[in-house]
Amino acid sequence: MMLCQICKANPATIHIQEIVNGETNTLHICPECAKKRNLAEGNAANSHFHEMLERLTQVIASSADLKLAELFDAKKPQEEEEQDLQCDVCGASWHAYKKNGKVGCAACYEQFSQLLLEDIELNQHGSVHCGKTPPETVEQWHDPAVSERINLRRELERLRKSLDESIRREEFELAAEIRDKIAAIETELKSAELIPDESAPETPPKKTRARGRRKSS
Amino acid sequence: MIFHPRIRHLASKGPVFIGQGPILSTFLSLSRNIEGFQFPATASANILESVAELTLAAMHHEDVHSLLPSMFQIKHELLTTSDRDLLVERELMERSHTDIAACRVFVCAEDGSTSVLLNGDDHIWLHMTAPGSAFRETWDRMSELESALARHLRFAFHPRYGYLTGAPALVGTGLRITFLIHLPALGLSGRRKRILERLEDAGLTSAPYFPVDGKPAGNLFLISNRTTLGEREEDLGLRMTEVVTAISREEERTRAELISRQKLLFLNACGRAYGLLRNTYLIPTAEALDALSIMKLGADSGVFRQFTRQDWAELLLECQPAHLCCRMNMALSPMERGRCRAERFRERLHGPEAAPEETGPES
Repeated sequence: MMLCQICKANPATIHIQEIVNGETNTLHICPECAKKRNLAEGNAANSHFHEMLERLTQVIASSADLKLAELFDAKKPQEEEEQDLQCDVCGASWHAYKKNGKVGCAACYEQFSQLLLEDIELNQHGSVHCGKTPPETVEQWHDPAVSERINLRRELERLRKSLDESIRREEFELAAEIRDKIAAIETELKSAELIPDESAPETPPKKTRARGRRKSS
Repeated sequence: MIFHPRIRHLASKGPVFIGQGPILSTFLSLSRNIEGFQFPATASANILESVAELTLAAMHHEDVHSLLPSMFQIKHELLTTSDRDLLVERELMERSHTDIAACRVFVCAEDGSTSVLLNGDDHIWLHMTAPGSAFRETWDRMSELESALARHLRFAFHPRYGYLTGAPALVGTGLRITFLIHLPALGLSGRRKRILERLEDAGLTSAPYFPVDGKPAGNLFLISNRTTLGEREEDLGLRMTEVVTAISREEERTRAELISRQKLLFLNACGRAYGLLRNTYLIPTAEALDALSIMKLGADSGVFRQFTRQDWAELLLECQPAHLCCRMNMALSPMERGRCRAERFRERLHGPEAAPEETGPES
């Protein structure tokens, strides 16, 4: 460890380099000796700046309604908010977007609007859409089976959330009830052909195959 | 069986990379999400199942169905790795879509011109391919299909941002336009890098089609738009067509110059590429692609009068890994692929009809 060049006892943590007429002088000193010599010898401007900064901090601390202080205070929560900004609808975080470039739902565009707009303006051709737009009216969905299954799945999502909640609250009877309801909906959904999968052209339809197998057994 | 019969059937369809001159094909993809459902990145399997069901029901409506000639649908999880690789080679699926994820469904028109992926990066990913530079016709088809779907599905739309997508990089039109372009002469002249770098100024981006060890094997490049917000689809497409046509013209001018100034060297290169492919017993992809690139240059310049664009495009597809596996109907090691690839070249280039003409190119 390098020792202070003045007291030769404490470790030197302050290093001052001075260039005079092309010659470099280096001084390694400890904080105590630096204080005694007023930080850097003859550096009046530097000490003046420190004084100013100290006074400014005092002013901010003493007057809460000072605009400057408000500005400083206002900046703090915004920074924190940016750190853990989350979408209320889907739970996607701003950090996740920064990492993989993806948002979670349509609502994210509103939730992260301020931050996202900066990103979009930076990377896109413009900031306002001017292409194709959707039609005014969309035909209402008339297939009751499809709508019912979608409602059932929504109900399932809701039930799963309340199941977690009830387990957390240790309401186990309620949890058992919800679990049974979930099982019932899951069976109902499973019984319906959800996404009809077209079989390969040369594969015969399932029914014919099943009949064939029964005959042979 | 390592290939789904439907996908195997697709492999027998003609290739799309048969455009005249340097611009080989146009690919368009359009991303849409359904209002009221979370995007695939965060949605639960339940939500995605609803999305798939709603979209498939809409696709079976008469007006949509008529735009997707003899379409078929397969659950993504039922596709083998080889199936998915083959779809990527045929430009029907993106490499990033090959991972298995919940409730993905692949829908494809039987002629292989249109494919749809449900629950990829977005709920709906429409994709169309066309030979040559064909933005306008392809966009008309794409727009018609999207409008038909929009009659039955309410898409997530924001008055300012336009169509909302999982990746804000696609927000607005949700449209990605890509041209596949063959630039061997500009590569030889050393000006290609500079020209492609300048695309950035126009909001476009380029990438090698077959990057092998950081080098663009086969001199094939993809040119796509980087931005999707603030410009109409037609304006972007026409602007890109102009840029790509200008690059293509520059490539053709350089080719003509190359042939007129160094005809013997050019003929030599063509003959050697033909000789290599005609007589090889083991050839890796990158080497095959580079030789094919020169064969195409020769075919375009009239050196190989009997070797057509169609032949070339077929060979380009057939020499790729998944197509080779499909042909042999078995998984192949890189060494076996090299052997099968060589065998295919020897078969296709056998006989005098494909050999370079002694008279050489018309200059």
